[in-house]
Amino acid sequence: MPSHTFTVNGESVTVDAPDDLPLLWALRDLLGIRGPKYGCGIDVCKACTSHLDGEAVRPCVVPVAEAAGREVTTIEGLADGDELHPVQEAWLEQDVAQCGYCQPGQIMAAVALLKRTKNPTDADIDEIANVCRCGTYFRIREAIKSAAARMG
Amino acid sequence: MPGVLDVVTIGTGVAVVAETFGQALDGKEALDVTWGPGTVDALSDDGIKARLKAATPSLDVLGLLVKKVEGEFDFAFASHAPLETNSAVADVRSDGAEVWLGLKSPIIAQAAIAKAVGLPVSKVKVHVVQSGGSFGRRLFYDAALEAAAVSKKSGRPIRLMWSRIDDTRHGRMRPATHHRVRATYAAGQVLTFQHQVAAVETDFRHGLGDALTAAAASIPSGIGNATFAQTLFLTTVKSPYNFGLTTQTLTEVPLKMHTGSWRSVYSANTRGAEEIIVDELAAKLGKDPVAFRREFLKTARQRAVLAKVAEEGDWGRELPAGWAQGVGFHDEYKACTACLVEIDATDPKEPRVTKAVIAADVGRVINPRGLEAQMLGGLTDAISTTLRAGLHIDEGLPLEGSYSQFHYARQKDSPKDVQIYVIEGADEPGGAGELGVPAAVGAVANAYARATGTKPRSFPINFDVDFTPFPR
Ligand code: FES
Ligand code: FES
Repeated sequence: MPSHTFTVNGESVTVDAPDDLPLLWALRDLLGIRGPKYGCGIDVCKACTSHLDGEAVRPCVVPVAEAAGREVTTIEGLADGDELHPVQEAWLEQDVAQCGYCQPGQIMAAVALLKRTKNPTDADIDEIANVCRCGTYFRIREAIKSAAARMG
Repeated sequence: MPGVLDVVTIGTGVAVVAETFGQALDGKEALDVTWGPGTVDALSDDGIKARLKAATPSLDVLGLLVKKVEGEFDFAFASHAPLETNSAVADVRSDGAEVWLGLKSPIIAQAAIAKAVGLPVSKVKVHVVQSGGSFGRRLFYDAALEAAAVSKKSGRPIRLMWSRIDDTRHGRMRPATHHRVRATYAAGQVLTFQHQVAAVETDFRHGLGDALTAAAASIPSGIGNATFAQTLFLTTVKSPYNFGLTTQTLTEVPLKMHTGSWRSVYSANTRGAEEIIVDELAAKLGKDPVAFRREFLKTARQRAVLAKVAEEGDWGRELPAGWAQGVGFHDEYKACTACLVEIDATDPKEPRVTKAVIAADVGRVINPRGLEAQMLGGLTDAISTTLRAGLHIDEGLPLEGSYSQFHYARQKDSPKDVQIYVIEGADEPGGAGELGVPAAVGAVANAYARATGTKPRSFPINFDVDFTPFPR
């Protein structure tokens, strides 16, 4: 069984898994990191959104072999110790989460967006295609704007 | 196959047990299963629509000179589409069982699991855990039964999860409905209002959370379930307007399909269709939709929420061609709400609700932010199911298999401006979880109608098969 070494949330990990096992399952089922959620497995719902070398990816379609030697960040690694990321703070302020299932992915997508553009327009925010079945979209929009203001 | 530990056949399917879900899903793809027949293999949308139409009672015979407004509506099946697919954890041993899952009816679930695995109820421990929003889906505890059956057969604890495609095609859905609605009027007054609804049977066999109602709903031959459906329809569906002699009836067509209550049960379609007719009636009488509703609503409390959205939403303001405002109202669960939306339907195939103003009076408010969140969720459900999200049934199964095909709204389909006003009443708290859907269905449909000059009759409005279905 091939083994793959990469960094998850700042820690080096090694998993034994077939090369083509989607990273999502290596994270969830081999490493017990359950922030990234399964919602479709085909890069449609975006619930699993996490970062690979700082860019948003959908680990349900990234083979674990592709993560080798790279840095994976999931929602668990976003805060700096006890200090929440400003996007997480904004999420709390706007009371965004309903059931919460989509929210790790929504937050990771928002963080990646704010990395690309400091002051996202409504059209930029519209490009986040993550499904929220509870329909929290407007609060997500408000939270992204609030986070942008916080991050200046 | 790598990682696959076991393959187990249970009453409802074949389970692949693996070290990771990825490997279990691969294993599932590799299975070669000969399935028995389904319950409605010969039926597709056309056939179901014809059955519903035939089952819808005719409207009363009218004299030739009676002035009337009428409409016949179809609503497609809608998936509950919980983002978290059907799932449960079970550990069944010879001397006891434990299960963990999101549940709305744990007491009957416990009894059913005990029966299924052959243990006394006292030896089955059910843990109700937080789960993904399911909007009615988790009234059913089938995931627990499956996980328990697999655990028992495979002799190990099981974390069961359905794939998205199975969840969409073999999960539950809001039944398709057909509606005949008619109002008659004379001298500026509405004389009669008649609404005949036919629906594919909604499965209520989960009961109301206790053993007694579950047993009553499960009485064989469908009588139990049908009685349950009638009671629910008659207690929840009411007209808030002084429309003279008002009759609303439900006829169920007992097709054996995986249906279930979907946020607001009958009201989204039933009251949604009525709100459309209310707009058409207002137009016939030469009245503005808001002024007309104000005149015919029954109570001051109802008129207050309507007045609030008209004022805050600047009802009647100028909008560019292809854009329009629309309004809807709903009263249920000792609560009432009005919704005003603006839609950009410049491209009628790609309409976007750009703004929503909602007012709700649910009596005493315990958690205002939570209440607003429920109204926001109801709005998103209404935008989705009115404009684009539905299931096409083809030979007994939905064609849709994922969110690329079942078009639940995304950020790009949602309004950039949402204002929600809570009007605090002194009464005991009413319900809010389902309240938002029907008024918003009416508002979105009415806005679309006004923007495009059409009369929407079939929902979702844009419902082409714009994808290649996954293989069956
Ligand atoms: S599970 Fe990865 S995009 Fe849906
Ligand atoms: S909060 Fe429930 S799916 Fe987004």
